[in-house]
Amino acid sequence: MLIELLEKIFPTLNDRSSRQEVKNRLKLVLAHDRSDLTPQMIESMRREILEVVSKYVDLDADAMDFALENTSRVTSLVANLPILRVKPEFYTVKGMSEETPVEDLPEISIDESAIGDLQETSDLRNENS
Amino acid sequence: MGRVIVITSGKGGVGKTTTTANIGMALAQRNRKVVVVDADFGLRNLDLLLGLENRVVYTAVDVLSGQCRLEQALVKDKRRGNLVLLPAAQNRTKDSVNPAQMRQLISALAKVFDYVLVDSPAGIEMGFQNAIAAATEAIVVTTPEISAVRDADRVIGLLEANNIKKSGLIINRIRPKMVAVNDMMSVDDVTEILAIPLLGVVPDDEKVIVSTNKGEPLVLSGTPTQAGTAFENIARRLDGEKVEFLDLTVKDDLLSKIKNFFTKSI
Ligand SMILES: Nc1ncnc2c1ncn2[C@@H]1O[C@H](COP(=O)(O)OP(=O)(O)OP(=O)(O)O)[C@@H](O)[C@H]1O
Ligand SMILES: [Mg+2]
Repeated sequence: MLIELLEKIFPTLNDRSSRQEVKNRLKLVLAHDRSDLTPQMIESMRREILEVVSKYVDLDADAMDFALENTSRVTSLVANLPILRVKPEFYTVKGMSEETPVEDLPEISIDESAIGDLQETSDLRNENS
Repeated sequence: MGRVIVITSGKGGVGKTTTTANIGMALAQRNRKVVVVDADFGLRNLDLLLGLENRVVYTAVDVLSGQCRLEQALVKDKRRGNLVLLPAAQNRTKDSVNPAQMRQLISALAKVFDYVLVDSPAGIEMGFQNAIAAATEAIVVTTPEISAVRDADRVIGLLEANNIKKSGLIINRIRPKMVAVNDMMSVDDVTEILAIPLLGVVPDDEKVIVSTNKGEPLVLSGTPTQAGTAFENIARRLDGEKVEFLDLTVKDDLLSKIKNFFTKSI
């Protein structure tokens, strides 16, 4: 138990080791080396992608992350764009707009005896087919 | 047709020539017919590591210019007659040879030898292009240091681009004690980053320098050394044998000491 505890404690200490540091630096530099993308290209990609995404949603500018990553010699562009909210004009379910007065809405009535009828008929149809 | 394998690294001084000499000798000890080709024109070293420097008469450049026949330029190792060296010219630059000429030379050698090992110069310019021109396989040598790994990565990309599909990785000069205290990348770290199959791991070993002084590859020495065994294992793997990797992890690092302390006291 003590040993497990030690092993749990040690990796967190090790994270600041020069070994971990060199691995992180290497991964970053190789992601760039391998992709053949210039910093300028990455920057304009970042700007254009943000432009497109921002048309639809508000982004959390402080928490955004945009980086090249590389595993097994495949480079990926990893963007983490936290969405604060969808822009109102793109709401799929529109909120009830205030201009429509409640009086103008058609009355809704209910026929208690017919509840469930529709489901029954559609069930029958399904069985027959 | 023999196998044509280029030993390359990108970064200089990581152990290409040491690797070529030792693997060449180890394969010869396994009774393979081996030629080691020094493709480091202008900065030849392979003759020194093999202790053959005094017997070099002609070089690859002399063969290409028609000064001598190919077999006249080949230096036979006295200790192992089935190992020969094709020396590079020392007084010429890397531009005195081109890839087409290298292909010609090497295809002639591949007809006769089981293994043609080409010791590449550092860099990725003409000398490197010459060295890889005729190769169908590659051994990429690196050390567990950031600049060496980055250069190795670049070279791996270039090998792929040049249609050399089969590459093995050698991690040289690993220092287990430093790995244990997290001050050096481990074998797994480097292999994971470079993402090509691991062919072998060679520890940092003072005996390498002693063997260079004597012009006698480590695999020849009567008493086994860690680095020598590592090179022998690499040769066996290259030759198709399945050999376990040496366990180079340090057992008496701090963590295990603490572990031991607690296990004992419980
Ligand atoms: N495993 C090792 N342990 C200790 N020293 C080593 C080891 N491998 C290589 N060396 C030393 O490192 C130096 C460079 O080795 P070597 O000449 O083989 O490298 P190289 O890659 O061929 O260099 P270059 O790029 O100049 O051709 C030599 O002094 C050699 O003795
Ligand atoms: Mg060399």
